[in-house]
Amino acid sequence: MDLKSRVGEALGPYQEKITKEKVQAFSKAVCSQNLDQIPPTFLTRLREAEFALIAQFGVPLSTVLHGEQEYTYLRPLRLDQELSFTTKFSGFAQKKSSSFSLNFLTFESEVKDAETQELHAISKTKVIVRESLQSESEGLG
Amino acid sequence: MSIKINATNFTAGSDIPFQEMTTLTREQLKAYAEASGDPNPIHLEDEAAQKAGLPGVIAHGMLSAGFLGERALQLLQAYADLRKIPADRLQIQNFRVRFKGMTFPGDTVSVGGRVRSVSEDGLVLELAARNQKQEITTTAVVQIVSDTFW
Repeated sequence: MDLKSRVGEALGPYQEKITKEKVQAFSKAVCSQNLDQIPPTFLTRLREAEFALIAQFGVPLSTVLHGEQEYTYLRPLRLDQELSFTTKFSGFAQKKSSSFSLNFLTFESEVKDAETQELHAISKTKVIVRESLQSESEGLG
Repeated sequence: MSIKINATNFTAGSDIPFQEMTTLTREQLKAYAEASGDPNPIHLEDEAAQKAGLPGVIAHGMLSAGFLGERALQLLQAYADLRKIPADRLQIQNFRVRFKGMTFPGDTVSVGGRVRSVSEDGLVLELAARNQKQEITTTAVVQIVSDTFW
């Protein structure tokens, strides 16, 4: 795959409300001792635009592995806040061996308060797609 | 609420004891897929995972990151208690995770690490999630700041 020409493409804004139910379900799933606190990785719920971009690139989600994730918070999130986010495909790199290539796709999201438009957080995601260079397609997972 | 942070004294270089978070089940992966909105079938269906070259379903990387985040919140609370300030005066400003290995249903996940630095502004933690074979699967650097710098 060569996605260099697609760098810069973006999708959004999408919206996501931080409800108590969502926070509690997420907190429970990560074995939290405090179900009412918004977990620092809660923003992983905001990958809808990233997944849509990956689908537009023709990459099956089952071949995508997470490599790195970073969240930077400029303002705290709060319960019942309506968030607005836009995700940009911000980088593409590739490493090739004789039999496969490793493709590194980077996405950056700006997370704002939907009402005030104040920037609350920035999310950077790096995913890895392994692509077989032989006839039979085979991925790492 | 009991918080088990035994022996962390929050000085630069001090160890953060590994604490067992859970032994993962497929039900937990399903619950996390729903709670996080991650539709990737390699976490839910063996067939999809095997087609992708895996032995079977694997846990979401972000689930391990979630355990690291939970441990970070526990440590934030413990640090606030030590400093005798309300926990909401402290915030996680930066949370950076690297995924290094896979986690499977049946694996027992523990999280620990060390305190990288402490200052008036806050502290930086280096955390790692490991399995029952002591293999590190996920690492995180967590920057916690006091609200005067927020």
